[in-house]
Amino acid sequence: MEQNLSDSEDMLELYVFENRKLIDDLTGLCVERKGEKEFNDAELKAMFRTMHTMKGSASLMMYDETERLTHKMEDVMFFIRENRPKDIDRGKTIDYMLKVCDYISRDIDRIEQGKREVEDPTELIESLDGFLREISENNGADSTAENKKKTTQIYVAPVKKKAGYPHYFRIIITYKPGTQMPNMRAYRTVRALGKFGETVYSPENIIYDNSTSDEIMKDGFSILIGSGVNEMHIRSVIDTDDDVLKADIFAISAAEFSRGFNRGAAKSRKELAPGDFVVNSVPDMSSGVMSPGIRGSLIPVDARKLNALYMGIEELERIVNTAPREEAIKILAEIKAEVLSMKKVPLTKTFHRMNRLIFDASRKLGKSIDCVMEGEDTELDPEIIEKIADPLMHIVRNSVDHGVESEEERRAAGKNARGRITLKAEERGGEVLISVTDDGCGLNRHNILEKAKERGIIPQGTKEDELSEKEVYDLILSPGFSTSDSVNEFSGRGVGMDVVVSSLADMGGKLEIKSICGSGTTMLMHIKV
Amino acid sequence: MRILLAEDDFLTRKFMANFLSKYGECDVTVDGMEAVDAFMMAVEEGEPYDLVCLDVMMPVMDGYQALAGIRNIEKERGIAEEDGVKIIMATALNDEKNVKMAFDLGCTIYSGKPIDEERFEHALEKLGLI
Repeated sequence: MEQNLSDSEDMLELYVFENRKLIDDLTGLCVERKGEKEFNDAELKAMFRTMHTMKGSASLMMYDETERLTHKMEDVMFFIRENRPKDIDRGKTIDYMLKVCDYISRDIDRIEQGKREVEDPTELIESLDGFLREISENNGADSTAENKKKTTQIYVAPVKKKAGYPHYFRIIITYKPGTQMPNMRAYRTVRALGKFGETVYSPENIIYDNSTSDEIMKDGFSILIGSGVNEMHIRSVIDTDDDVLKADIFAISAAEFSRGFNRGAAKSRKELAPGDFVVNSVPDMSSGVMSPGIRGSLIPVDARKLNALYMGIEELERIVNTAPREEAIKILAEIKAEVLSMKKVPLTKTFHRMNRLIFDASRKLGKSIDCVMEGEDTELDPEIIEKIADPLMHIVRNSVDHGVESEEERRAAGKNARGRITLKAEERGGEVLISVTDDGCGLNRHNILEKAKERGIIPQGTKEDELSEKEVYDLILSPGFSTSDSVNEFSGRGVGMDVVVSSLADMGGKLEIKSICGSGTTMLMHIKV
Repeated sequence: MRILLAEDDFLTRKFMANFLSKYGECDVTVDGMEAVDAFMMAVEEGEPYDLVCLDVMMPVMDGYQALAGIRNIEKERGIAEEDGVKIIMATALNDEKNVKMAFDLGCTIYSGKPIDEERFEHALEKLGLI
């Protein structure tokens, strides 16, 4: 497997990360040229190669169902690529490809969550097989991809230990000046604490290496503990040692605990070779072995940002001794901003997911809707993106289901038969604004009021002109509200909009609604950055 | 099935020997060097092992060295790659670099620890060992 990270990553994490990316890219590719009738060379090549790669990694990890499925899809793509059948139904092929992508996406989610169940792909495989026979019969050619049989190699992922501790702490013990053999005292303390849970400590070789005593006196003795007992209890254990001057105890997260002690990135970048694991010399990569493992969280970083960061640092190196302090400070600020921006990710992928959603939903409901995207390269912290993904999806679903009318209704109203939903993102005045605009039927004040009365949200006797426009729109944000009479898989259950608003409020943001009855609606999310 | 186990930690060794004897007769060694010697001996006596299970961190010779040693013995005797003994590395190290190195040296199954017994068995089935 190719990787661009200098540190090595956990096999499972890597599988999830790489295959998610492959699926995202492939899905994007499928949806991009959705109207086209013909395949082009580049996409056939990309699709085949992706299926082939995923088949290989599924085989390595023994994800048999995914392997079978990708193998079949690979066969299909191989045939199309090799034979270029003239009357190939591109739309149908893309539909299959998207189904395969969805299956794998679900499988990856389960793998990430450590779930053992698998989904049976047999029906989809048989359907694909039928499709393949159909297209190869019409072209009289052989339908299977060449498959060089190579010796199987298998990776078996370890059982995930249940994260079962109620508490996680970081402890730093400082001993009184003149303490004798603090390393052995530390050992005693660690053994006592070990009865309550799992410990990792630094320095590690306290039992046989007396020079660790100097380190302990200088920097203190650090312990990470996953504990079944609380802080008070731990403190009382530590305090039984009279030589302890003080013990600082900080509550930490499970993730921080499992990251262990960072021994300095430089060591872990060493190229390992056979012979480095012979026991007797404490191995250099002990931090990866003794502590529960340094588990990073993978994020994709734009290479240009890394370059900019590097150049900033080089510039700083050049001028640090000669130029005035203000200049160095200025460059440091730029470097800091660059690092902060590295974590941020463009909304492109999220918008493309919405595009796909519109594509699927509109077809299922028999409507024709185009999706236009603006400002998709606007960047946000991935944690925020994750939090707004569901609200955004809900809003888009609403537009497709309730906003945009059917073709006949639109023609009757003198509009284009094809509806349009515009997704727009921009950064303005310390906020990121994300809007979903449809050119559909807009919000109907009268209907909203009627429904609100029906649901008991406002008193029966309320007059039409008693409420301002904003107040009327806010009614649809009440829990349990829905102007739709039919509930379908996309919306209408009335559980969404209030959750959207509260999710945004949790992040210090808000939802703004603008609408013109008959023309369309805009849902605008304000997100503080 | 004849199995060779190399594991230096006492408790782990007990567990692994117990676990593997489900599938066949299991011989136990405590470091990489002993394992390679045992492998060589079995080949010379005409009763080669079907499966070798190596820990990574061991005294004298580590799992990677033992792996390379065994593959060299096979190569020197003209044993084809497909006919080579199936080798399992079982270790708590799970990062991609270590796994890749093992596969490059000719490892057949790389299993993280704690061992997922169900999938481990599935892997043995896939390789036609059980």
